[in-house]
Amino acid sequence: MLTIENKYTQIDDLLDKMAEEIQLDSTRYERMKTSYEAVKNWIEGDELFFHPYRYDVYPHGSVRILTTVKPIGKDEFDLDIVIHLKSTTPHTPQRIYAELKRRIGENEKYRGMMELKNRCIRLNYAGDFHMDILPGIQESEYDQNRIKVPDRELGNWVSSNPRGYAEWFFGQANMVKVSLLEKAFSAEKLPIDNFKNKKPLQRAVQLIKRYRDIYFIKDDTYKTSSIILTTIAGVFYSGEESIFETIDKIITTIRAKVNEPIVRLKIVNPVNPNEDFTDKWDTEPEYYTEFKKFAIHLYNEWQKLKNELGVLEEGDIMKGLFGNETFVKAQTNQTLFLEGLRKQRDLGINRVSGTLTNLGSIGASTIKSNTFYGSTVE
Amino acid sequence: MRDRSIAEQIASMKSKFPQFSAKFTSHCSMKVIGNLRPTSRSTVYEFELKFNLVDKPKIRIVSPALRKNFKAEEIPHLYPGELLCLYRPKYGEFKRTDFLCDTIIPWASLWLYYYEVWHMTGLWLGGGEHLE
Repeated sequence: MLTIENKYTQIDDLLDKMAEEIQLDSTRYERMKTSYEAVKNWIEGDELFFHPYRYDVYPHGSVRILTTVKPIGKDEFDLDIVIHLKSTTPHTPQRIYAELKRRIGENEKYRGMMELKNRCIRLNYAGDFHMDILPGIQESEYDQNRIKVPDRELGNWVSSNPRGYAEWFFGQANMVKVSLLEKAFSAEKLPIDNFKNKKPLQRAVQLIKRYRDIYFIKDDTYKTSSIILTTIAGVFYSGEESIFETIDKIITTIRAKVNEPIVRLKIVNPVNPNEDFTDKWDTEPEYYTEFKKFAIHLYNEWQKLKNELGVLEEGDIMKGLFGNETFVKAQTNQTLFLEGLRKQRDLGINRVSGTLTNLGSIGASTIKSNTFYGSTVE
Repeated sequence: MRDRSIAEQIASMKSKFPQFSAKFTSHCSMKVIGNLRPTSRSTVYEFELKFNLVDKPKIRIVSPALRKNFKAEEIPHLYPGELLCLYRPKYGEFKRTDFLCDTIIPWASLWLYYYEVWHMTGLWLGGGEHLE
């Protein structure tokens, strides 16, 4: 079956291709990995402090959970990494931060790229990405994931669990065994490419984040953060098979929750219920007001897509939500795939609807080759 | 192979696309009216195909009316009178020995597909050649 033959796979294929367009590309991912290995080696080579301790270095955030989105305007990705020292380390998180700063500063190249942040040390790879290095000490030997990280503003440490969060997110994403697109493609034995490793929840998070970037493009004062959006999506997801239904489920639930009087929607860290990601929504209610408007707009647009208005109107809706360029590239890729089948004479037509299909489908007739010709200008 | 008669064209059309209306308009000419939807989320287009034993097949979209795209460009691959240019006569892609239901109809669905993509992307991705 061709994706364009079925109204659910047709739109999911486009949504999937749009997400593919906006995500971290593999060449840059490789560059990030190389840089991250180099930083790791540099820290490991420190005889003065780090060398004797046992620790892990790993990425967290969107790179780890595969929900990266290219920022609009600037072209820099975030790479978040953790230096996770085992619980036997006899030092405070503040000491680890200071030692990390010393060690990184000893490298001539890193010194000029270093920026001190509240909880982490940032290395700026100008025009490419920045790497936020978060030092942490495992809180106890019974929980491999929970770490203490320094908070310089508080002058203390806070509890953090980036690896636990990623495990939670993957658990949610894997509620669906086989996605709609995987089914459609495996039925035809067509090569499964990009979506093989991307579940509908991951695609939904990428698209909602891109929609957020476009929605708040003129004024990002009260822009909703990625951690809130990712967590909401994960919490409200319930195993839908398609990207379209996943976004629909998430946004419909948000709408119902924000319409409840008195109680505001509260999003806590799923691996640390004491941490309210939305605590700002109390102290600065404009954040909540803007979030509600943003969510309701997406809800309304999504309902329009259910009405089968024809691809032209749908295209306009998706351009508005995710950006013109993203949509055009995704649509072009979908068409080039069909064009490939046409060249191989593998394209057919459904005899009932006149819809294009591939050969082997029931009721399909071959399409002979043809050359579109002519012009209105003579 | 011998040329197809109008009766054969009508019979094959009715067999392949039973929901179309295919009728004689004289002893040597015919007309087909039907709907095509190039993809499952596309608009349904009504077309009219006229054919006789002398001229080239003439097919046009009755509704919805064809329109320019967002760049206000002229619609590609049309003959005057908004007839779809589906093949290059010189290449013998359509011959009188062919059935309309195996050529003109699927090509029209393809044309509509590229027409919609042209509206959405500004690009005609279906290839083809232009009058010189």
